[in-house]
Amino acid sequence: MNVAVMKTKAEQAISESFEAAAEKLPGTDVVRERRAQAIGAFSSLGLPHRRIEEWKYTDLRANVKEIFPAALDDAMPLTIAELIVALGPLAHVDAHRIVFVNGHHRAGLGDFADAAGFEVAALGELLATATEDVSADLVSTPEGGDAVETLNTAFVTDGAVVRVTEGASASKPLLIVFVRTGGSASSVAVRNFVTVEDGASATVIEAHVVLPGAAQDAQLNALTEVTVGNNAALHHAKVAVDEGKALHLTSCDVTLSADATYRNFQFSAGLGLARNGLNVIFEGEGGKIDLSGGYLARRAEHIDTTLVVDHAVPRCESRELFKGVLEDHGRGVFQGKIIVRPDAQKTDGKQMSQALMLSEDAEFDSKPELEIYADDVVCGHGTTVAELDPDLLFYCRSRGIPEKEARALMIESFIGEAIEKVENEQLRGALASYATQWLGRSSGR
Amino acid sequence: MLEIKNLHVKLADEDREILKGLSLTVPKGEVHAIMGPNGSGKSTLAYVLAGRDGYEVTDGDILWNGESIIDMEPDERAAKGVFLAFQYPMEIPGVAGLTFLRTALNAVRKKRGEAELTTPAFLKLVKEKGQKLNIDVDMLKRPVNVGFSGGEKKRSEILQMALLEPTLCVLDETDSGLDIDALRVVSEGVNALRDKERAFVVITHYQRLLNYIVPDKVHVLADGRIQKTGGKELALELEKSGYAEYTHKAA
Amino acid sequence: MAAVQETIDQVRKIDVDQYKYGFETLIDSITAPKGLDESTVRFISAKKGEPEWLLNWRLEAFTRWKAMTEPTWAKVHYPKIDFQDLYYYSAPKSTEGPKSLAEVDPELLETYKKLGIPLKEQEVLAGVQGSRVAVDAVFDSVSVVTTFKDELKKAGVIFCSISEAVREHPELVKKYLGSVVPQSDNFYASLNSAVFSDGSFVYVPPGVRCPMELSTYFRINAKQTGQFERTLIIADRGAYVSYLEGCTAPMRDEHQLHAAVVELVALDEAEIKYSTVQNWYPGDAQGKGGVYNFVTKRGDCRGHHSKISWTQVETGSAITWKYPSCILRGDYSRGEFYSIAVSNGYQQVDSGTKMIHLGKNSSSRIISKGIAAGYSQNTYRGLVSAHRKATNVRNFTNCDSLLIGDKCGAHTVPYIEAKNSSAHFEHEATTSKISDDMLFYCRQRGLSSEEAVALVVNGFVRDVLQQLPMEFMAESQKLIGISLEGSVG
Repeated sequence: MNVAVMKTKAEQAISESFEAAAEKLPGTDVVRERRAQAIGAFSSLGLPHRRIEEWKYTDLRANVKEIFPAALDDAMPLTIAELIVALGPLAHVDAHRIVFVNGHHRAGLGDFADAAGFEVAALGELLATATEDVSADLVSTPEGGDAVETLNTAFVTDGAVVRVTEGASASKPLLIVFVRTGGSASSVAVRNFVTVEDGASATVIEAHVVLPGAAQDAQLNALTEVTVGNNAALHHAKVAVDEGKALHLTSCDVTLSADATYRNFQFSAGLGLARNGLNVIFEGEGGKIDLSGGYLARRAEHIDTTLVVDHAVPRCESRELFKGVLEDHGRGVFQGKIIVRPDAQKTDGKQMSQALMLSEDAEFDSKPELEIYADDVVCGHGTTVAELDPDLLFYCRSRGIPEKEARALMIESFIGEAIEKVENEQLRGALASYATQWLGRSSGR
Repeated sequence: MLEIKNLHVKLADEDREILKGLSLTVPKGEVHAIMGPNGSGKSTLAYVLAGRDGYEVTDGDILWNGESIIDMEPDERAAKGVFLAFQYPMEIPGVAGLTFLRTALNAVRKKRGEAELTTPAFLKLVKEKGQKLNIDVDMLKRPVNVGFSGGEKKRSEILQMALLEPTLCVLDETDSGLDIDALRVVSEGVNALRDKERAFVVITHYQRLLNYIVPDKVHVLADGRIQKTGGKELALELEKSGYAEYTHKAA
Repeated sequence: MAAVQETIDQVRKIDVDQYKYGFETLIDSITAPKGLDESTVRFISAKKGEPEWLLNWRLEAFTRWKAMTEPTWAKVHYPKIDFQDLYYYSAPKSTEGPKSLAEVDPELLETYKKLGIPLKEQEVLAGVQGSRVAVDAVFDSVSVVTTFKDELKKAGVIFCSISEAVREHPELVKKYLGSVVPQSDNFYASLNSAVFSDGSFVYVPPGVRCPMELSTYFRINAKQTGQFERTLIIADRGAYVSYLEGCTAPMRDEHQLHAAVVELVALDEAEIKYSTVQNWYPGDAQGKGGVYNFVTKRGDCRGHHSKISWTQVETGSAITWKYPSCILRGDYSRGEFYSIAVSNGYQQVDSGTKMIHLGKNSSSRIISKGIAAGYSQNTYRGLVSAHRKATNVRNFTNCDSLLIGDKCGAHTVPYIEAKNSSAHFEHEATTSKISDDMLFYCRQRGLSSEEAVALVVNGFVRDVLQQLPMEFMAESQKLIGISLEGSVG
């Protein structure tokens, strides 16, 4: 079918951007080779479009019109005070941190040298010194990776490489911060590795934030690879808050060993066009995951959450709850697939996706999917779409709460049900503040 | 004083008239029971008093303390002291009862020109009111009415009423779905709130509730109009003879 | 207990090796030469003495079809079909010319008798069920007889084969044919448009409630012959009709192709209830043979307050690919889809519905029950969408799957698209096996494990079975092998 599809302007620009950047991207010859292969693979794949089932509702070929130059230097200054402004409510979360500015590690802003239980390094620095083998592992496209992950391989500059050592219980979370600053439009590709060794446990928060005044035109491609060992636990959160224009493509690939626990919360607000991809595979029995998230979209923002949970082995449990609030022309997309492989008996999988529509022009598309090849399973999914319940509004108003406040209260409670899933209290508080801020800026009705 | 004058109400998107010239006066300090058969317009009356969307007042007026309230928003009416205890209180998942009440109380206080309550002052007040009414305020830590039994929901309504200190209380079939113990607790709550400044409109299908909340007057509502008014003995009469007489009269 | 025992017996009967409709009728037939080109299309059209406009319509469809490729998105796998290795027309010789029941070949009557389909009106009248059903019997490519035509005519209802409708009511056919499923709709619908041979036609005039259930019985008999029937049902303003189709085929080693198109049109305040009991030959226990059932069914709720309700009991076919859908164009229109899909052996089912909400205040309801056993794969695929201007639309969807055995698969692929904030959609799906606790509870009360399974399966499909017209309950029970446990009546 795909005979000589015309390349779009953006696809052409990606190839050109790679040629311009190739020399300056970090890594040894083997890395260079990987990058060249990746851009070659991308040329034949092109940007994902609506005819590719997984991208049915988020057509990058149609929506990505131009490509900004890759951010190759880390010259933009950023003070601690500015970092705190960019972090907003997240600054109140007590955590060790590693900071990247425009896709490059900024050692002076970090605080992870004495992070108990963690071994933390920056990918860019590792690439400069690592052996060929290690480099090759760090810069490869995950198996089954799509065009977006392939592009990440081609352009990745930096990211956090985190290890939680065997048996360690890291009490303080690690905050991986990606800050955007500076006045020119740019494109950033980063990659993180989080490995939790057997019996260890930790909390890792990935934050994508913007210093007020920075260019709103931006493109981000972030890939996080997570491995959770036997009996290990990871609480993972990704918080992305932007100003309504940026392209935000993130993927997270998670592998769980036996009796491992993984929790992930995704918070998105103000993202122009976003794809939050999350793939989890159970490789050992007795694994448990809880994936949840809240997203807020207004103006013409578009937030896509795409999950694949692969129950490849027996006796694993998955829980998913995603809630979105859509205003103006805001569009939410939810695709959630649960696969239960043959012999993955005693699988317990449940999923719920809900959207609250605040304005006539909002749109929500949902495709929850069950693919089940084992019989002794309990699986289910649910989707609801609705506007604010007029009976509830009336009830609140009959108790004296003005309409605007009643609406805010109900929206907060709607998104709050998802935020409740976050275990770290300070993070929960920070997310609630983000939601309140967002509502404060709401045009209301 | 509540004065309802020749009130005509229809559903907003249907042409069927539900209230057909209802007139009623409830002075402050009195409890008036409205009794009537199913479909007589009892719940409509409750909703129209509270200002719910979906109803259209085509004629007549509702005055509360001499002021017409029919063009007011529901929250404005609440600030003026109107409180409706719902037949089926709403569940609000994710909103703790305390948050809900504090938001409501402060909104009402603000509109009444009173200062907002601080959190400690609010908590103290809630505890006080709860004790007085013999209601465990722990239930307010849970989301509003979520997972509550029928009795718990009605108790939560009465506690809200005590806190918001309304001057016109409309109880819509408060007895529906209650066992005898719950009925007693709820009635004691209502009786504790009886006051010479406060008027009550108690809407019910059965006389049973009126053993606990003794009314000053009983009105029979049928076919959208008050058909008869009497003392508390009228309720007993109705219990014996039923509503047939009034529905026939209406037909 | 008797009812439960009956259920068990019936469950056994659906075992693929016990397909009881697998006999072949030996009868002389006229067939078109093997293969498909423009001359095949002309042959079929000429055989039926069709007017020029219809021939051109077919040829246009054929041209479109040639440019199309087979869809591959469904979760079904089969070797590529050689469309040149099929016969596209086969008719029993004896059906040439005008027909009354007396003239129908006794061999054919015998066939329908064996299938349990009453074609003699007096037999129907004497039937145990005590209610009457009009039947259009389609054998391979042609309609052999339609019963109760005269009585229906008195009520103003037109019920005949589509070939007859082309002759007798060309204005209606011309107006509505292809108006719901256009010639270029999809690969199989285009193929059907080019070569459809027969099928049923129903027109219920304004304000008329059709006095009896209408039914078409489809039978594929001839070897290597595709069946391409076309059904068109129109309920004019305020009319009501309930229609049922049933189908069977002989057991054959090779696969048979069935690509039908059904179009329903409901005008203002009209209601169409369309029920299917599909029991094409499913293939043997090793997956050899069986019908490929690639069907396009769509209803257009064209008028305000119109209603279309699809009920399907799918037990047959090697592969089922069908999505009876509703286009809810009229304000306050309503669409319903109730489905039971049972798959066993190596059967593959990919079925579901589309509810396209275009009209304001339109509502829809989807209840789908999939039961997968053996090595089968059973997929629910559905779409619920609300158009930008369709305010206050409602949908409720519930699709449940039950797995019996660990070699089968059950899949759920719903698409939910809300482009209007006032849309209120609720979707829920579950997949489970019969819980051990439940089985234990039943067994503790004295049921054998088979009885317990039957009991639970009964409960599982009950919501949907209740939607079938009373007259067909018995037949459906037989087909699905599940008794209703006293809920009838």
